[in-house]
Amino acid sequence: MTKHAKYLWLGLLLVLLALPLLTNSYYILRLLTTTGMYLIIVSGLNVLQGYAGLVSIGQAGFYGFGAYAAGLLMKNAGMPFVPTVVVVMCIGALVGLFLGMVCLKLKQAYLAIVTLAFGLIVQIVAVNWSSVTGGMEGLMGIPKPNIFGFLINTPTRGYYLVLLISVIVSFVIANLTKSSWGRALNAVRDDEIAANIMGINVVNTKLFAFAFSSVLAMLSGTLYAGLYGGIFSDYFDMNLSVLFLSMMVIGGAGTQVGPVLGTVLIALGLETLRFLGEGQMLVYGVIVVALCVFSPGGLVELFSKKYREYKDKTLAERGVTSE
Amino acid sequence: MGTIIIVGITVGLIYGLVAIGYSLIWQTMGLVHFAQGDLLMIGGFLVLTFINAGFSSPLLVCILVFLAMGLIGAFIEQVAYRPIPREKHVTRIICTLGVGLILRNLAVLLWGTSSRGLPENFFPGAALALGEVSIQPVYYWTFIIGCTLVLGLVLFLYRTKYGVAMRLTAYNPALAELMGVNSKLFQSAAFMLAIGITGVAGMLISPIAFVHYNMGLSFGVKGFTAAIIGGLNSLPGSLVGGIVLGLSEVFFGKYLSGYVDVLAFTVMILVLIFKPRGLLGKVEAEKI
Amino acid sequence: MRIKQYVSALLIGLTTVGLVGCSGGADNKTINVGAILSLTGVLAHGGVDARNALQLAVEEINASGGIKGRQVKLLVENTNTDPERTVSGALKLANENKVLAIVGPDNSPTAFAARSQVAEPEHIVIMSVTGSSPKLTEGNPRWFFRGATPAEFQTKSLVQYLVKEKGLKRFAILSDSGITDQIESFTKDLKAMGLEPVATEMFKSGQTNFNGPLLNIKSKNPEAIFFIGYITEGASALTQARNLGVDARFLGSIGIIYDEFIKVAGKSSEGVIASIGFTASNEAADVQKFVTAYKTKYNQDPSHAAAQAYDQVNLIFQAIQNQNLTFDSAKVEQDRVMIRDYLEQVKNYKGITSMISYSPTDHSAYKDVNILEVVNGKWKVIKHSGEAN
Repeated sequence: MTKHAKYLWLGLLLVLLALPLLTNSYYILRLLTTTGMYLIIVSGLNVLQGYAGLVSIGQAGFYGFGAYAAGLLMKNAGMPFVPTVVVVMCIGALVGLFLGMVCLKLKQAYLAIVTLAFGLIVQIVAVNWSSVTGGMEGLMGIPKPNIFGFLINTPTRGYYLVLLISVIVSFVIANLTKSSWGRALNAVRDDEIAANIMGINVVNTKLFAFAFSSVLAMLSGTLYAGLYGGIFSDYFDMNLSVLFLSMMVIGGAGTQVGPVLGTVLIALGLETLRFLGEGQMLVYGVIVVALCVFSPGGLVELFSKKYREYKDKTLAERGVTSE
Repeated sequence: MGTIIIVGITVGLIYGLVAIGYSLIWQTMGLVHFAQGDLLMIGGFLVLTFINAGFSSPLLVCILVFLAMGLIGAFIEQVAYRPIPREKHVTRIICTLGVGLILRNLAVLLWGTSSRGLPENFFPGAALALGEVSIQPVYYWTFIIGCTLVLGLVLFLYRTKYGVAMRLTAYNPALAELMGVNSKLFQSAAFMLAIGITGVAGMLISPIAFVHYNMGLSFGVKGFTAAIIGGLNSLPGSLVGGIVLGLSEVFFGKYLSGYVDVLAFTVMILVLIFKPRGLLGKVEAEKI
Repeated sequence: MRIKQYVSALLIGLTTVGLVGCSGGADNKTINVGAILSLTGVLAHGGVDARNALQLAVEEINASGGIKGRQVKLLVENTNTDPERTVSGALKLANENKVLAIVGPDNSPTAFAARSQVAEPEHIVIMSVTGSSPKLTEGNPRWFFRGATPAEFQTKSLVQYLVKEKGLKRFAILSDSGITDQIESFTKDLKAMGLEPVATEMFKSGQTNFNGPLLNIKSKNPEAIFFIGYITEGASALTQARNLGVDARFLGSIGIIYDEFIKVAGKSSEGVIASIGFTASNEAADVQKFVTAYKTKYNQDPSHAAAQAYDQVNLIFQAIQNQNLTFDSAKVEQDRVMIRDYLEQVKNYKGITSMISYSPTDHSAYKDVNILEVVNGKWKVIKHSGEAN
């Protein structure tokens, strides 16, 4: 990106860093922390779907799996936070690989169905296996993270932790998409057969995409368990998976900035629409459908289009033709 | 034992109807319609609205629901699905999810959050005795109406020229156009038909389970599990899949309680991996 | 493509700062009381009921001049019976609207979330409206108060009544697999009578087809089936049971003790027995005053969720009346402590549900438990049990 844009993002980062100094409302801090967690998940989903073209309606399943795994490890096995993160991320990679292998040959629609079923299975197990997961009454009393002696026991610290990890994840993905892996992902999305002919190992690329998105979702789950201390199975339902999808789509799938934009706008936007009460989700649903119909590339595509139209118009007015 | 079978088949028939809806839409539009379950819910609520408006004959209500749902289906298809190009698979899938969301919340605004059942004795008649098994009117009416619907569908598709045109459009739209069939029209018609059938299924489940705005997910998922097990590409397969699912739910429900759904999903995933065309499906050729 | 970078960054920045900047809507002229309830979601009928009762209580007190000359304002956040939304709603009320106390939520999972994520860490009183899991008040919470009869009292009186007075011996249990406390409680009470449940079946929340578990239960020939779960599943299970020829009497847990249940289940609900503190048919004068007022305004009978909410909020009003609050939103933490301190000293407050007492070590209100039965389409008190021992 250009230097100007870089400065803008840096400025934004500074604003985000300074935020806890401007407010000590737990409500806002928690909202932003949760948004950060969602961003990590949606970024992973973007790699899977936006770049590799593999549909998933089951990210909430990975998220929940990670949260419960982390919660159980930290609470029952007394594992400290950092090793838990590592272990859960490894589990994430394995589960992702497994699901990827299951779904290798499936076409779009069937893939959507299997991921949906996966998400539902995770939730059903979470609810029914009450002896382990606490069932509907939840898994509570998860100890706060202790990172090399630094205890994350206030909302502000939790916020900074999530901010740090989101930034790291964004960096990793930005570099990933520019690398040969990134190009391989795109190639597989656009035309599998051509990609194969060009020497790209399609199977490995797909498996990688699955594992990557799974790891990120489980990482986010670990953060949720550690920072919030309590997990309730009701939360990890299909609606949550659909929420993640819509965050990616509304922002603009397959772009770097789309997921960030979509996640922030929807997470914060839904909160501001609280006053609508029962009508809140209806408005949200209408927006999703409207975007699908009018601007499938999300807001990012909308902006680009509008800007180009504007540019063409002003150039034409000045008597310059655009190529 | 007899009761188990009766119950299993009746519930299975309803799953089968939903599955047929999925299958029809998949074959003609290439779309997995995730909002199907929510449309079932809307159908159930519409039935209540009609009853409150004074219609009390089950057959009349059935026809009204079928027509009303068909119109709703036409509207949804034109506004939400038609504008999106067929290749944009992901977008279409997300759009169906969005439509489902809208339908659920619309239902809350229109009919509130409580559950509703059909009035007592909506289905007239007395319990039928078959050996030592006693069948409530609810069950045999569901069976009759369900079978009639399926029979009607089969006759339509295989014995009328419109049905043939629709099947041709499903199989190969380009070829259909060459034969003078307006493929777009028949795709819409197929969609309307599928939604109409789903609406009637909504009427049939309401005595057994109650209609409330969130019921769509459960039936929707069961419906397409049935469709996949039987084969998305095959209408008879969907019906068979539904009945198989209904029976196994009742049989295995004894041992697995809450995990019954997990069994269904696992079977579905296994079918998708090993026999993607389902038990009765036809082979899909992938064009290179 | 840099335009999208600019615009996106700008949008994100503006939204975030905007959210922070525009927050905080408390004024010092009204008394803000919050509520977190299910206006949509699984417990919506209970949540809406409770909200109605709260609005009634607020109107009543404002009509008589408010508290210390200030009008009371009720702020309600919808939880959709989802724990995460319950937490964010409660936090918004506490941090943004600076409410003095919160009434709600309306079931155990959301109550657990509200207690551990908001009440205890943020130091604000949250009084739940239903939520019968005994664990809710274990561990000596200092800010979370329970407003419903704990499960063990409900089941104990039910079992005692049915075994001692009706001579029943064969009980089966049909339960939502996510709710475990009531099964334990009921089984324990049966054991105390020297009995064991003849069958225990589970189902998943949202399940529509109960034929499997019901046929299992039928084969064991119970005289009564204790149903643990919510209205929709309860009505479905009951109807399907009757269709299958299972004639055993249905016993209800707190989840189905609503008029809504009778409406949904129809005729099959005749004869269902349950135990709870409040019922609209209780002839006591103060109960009827509430019932009449509620009925006039909302055209239906209040459920126990409404009654409990009414009692809770009136207790909060009393606390505000009797303490020296600053009514300064900048000092709201002090006010909240004073309210909590007052509530912990409440002894024998005569609510419309029954006598309520709290103490610093006991935040669970024991309530009188009545035995109810659905007779002619209405819940009727068939036995007043008094405090279960």
